[in-house]
Amino acid sequence: MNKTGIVKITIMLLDSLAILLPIALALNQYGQNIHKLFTPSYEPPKIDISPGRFLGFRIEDRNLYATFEFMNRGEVKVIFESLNAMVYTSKGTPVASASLSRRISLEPGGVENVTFKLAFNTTVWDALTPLLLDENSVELKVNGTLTLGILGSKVIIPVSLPLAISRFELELAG
Amino acid sequence: MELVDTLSLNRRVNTLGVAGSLLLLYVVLSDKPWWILTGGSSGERAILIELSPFTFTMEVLGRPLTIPVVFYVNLAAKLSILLAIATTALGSILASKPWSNPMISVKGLILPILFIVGVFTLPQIAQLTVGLSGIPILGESNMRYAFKSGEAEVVVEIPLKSEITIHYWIALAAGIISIPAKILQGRIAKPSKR
Repeated sequence: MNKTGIVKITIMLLDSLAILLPIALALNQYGQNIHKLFTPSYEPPKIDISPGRFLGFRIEDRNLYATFEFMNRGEVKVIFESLNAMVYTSKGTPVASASLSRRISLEPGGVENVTFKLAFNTTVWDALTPLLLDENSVELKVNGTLTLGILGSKVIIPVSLPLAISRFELELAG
Repeated sequence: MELVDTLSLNRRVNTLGVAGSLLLLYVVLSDKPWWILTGGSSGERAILIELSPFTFTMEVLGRPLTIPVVFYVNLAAKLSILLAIATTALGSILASKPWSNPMISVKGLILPILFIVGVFTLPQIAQLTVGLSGIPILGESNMRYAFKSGEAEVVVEIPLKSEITIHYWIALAAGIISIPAKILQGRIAKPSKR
């Protein structure tokens, strides 16, 4: 064999070694559990937003504002971007639309007041008083989607919030 | 033949081979990504993928995601290219020897081509494995992903942006140089005698 042939074979052998060596290392490390070699390893950050105290109602003409305290017990900042929902009575009749009064940013470990705005077609009193005829409170349900901002992404989650307003709270808010 | 003499410093050294191997060495040692995908907006990053044949970094929501096999694939690529660099550099210095011709490697060109083909297949792989669509190879797009969390359907929307970095183009340039380097080597080296 001439020198060119020897060089070619040597390079081919070294090339094979460059491929085989990592394979050998991989098998040495994961030989008993090849599946683990291809399994992604990931630990997501904790995302935990939970409502705290209810802080009260406020009425402004056709709008009813309900404020809740929210806590971020997670490890990433969460932004309440928007709420797109309808408000229904206990009989399923839509009476108002619901949205966030403003965008709220919740840092990890932080607590913020989040205000939901319920917009009625008439004044709040005119809308809710008929529902209080024989009852001491009005049972409403807010159904829709809440959009959260997490690290530049939008997460849209369905929400279904029960809301009970007593006659006393309504009078106080007005 | 004047050009051959000039480029080979009077048939002593394959300058194109030396230049190509030095460029390729920079690419390997710099460890920079060739393709980057980021997801998020307003300066925040929900997803980051930095990819090259020699390195792989992935972060989701600020936390690293690792796949063990990728380390070994990167290692194999690195060893293979380092070998190509070594043989090309040595062959370029020993250009006058007829047996040095096989030492000039074109792996430096094959790798960027294979890499870009791999990047083009990524969206299909993501679709087949985890049902993710809308991953841009180059440019921007909006990815929308829906999944069940209990009985509720949660939708995630992430603006994505991807780019091929300058380091890919440097690697490709180094690879392209290997072709005229291989041709030049053949012109410089004298025929071998049995």
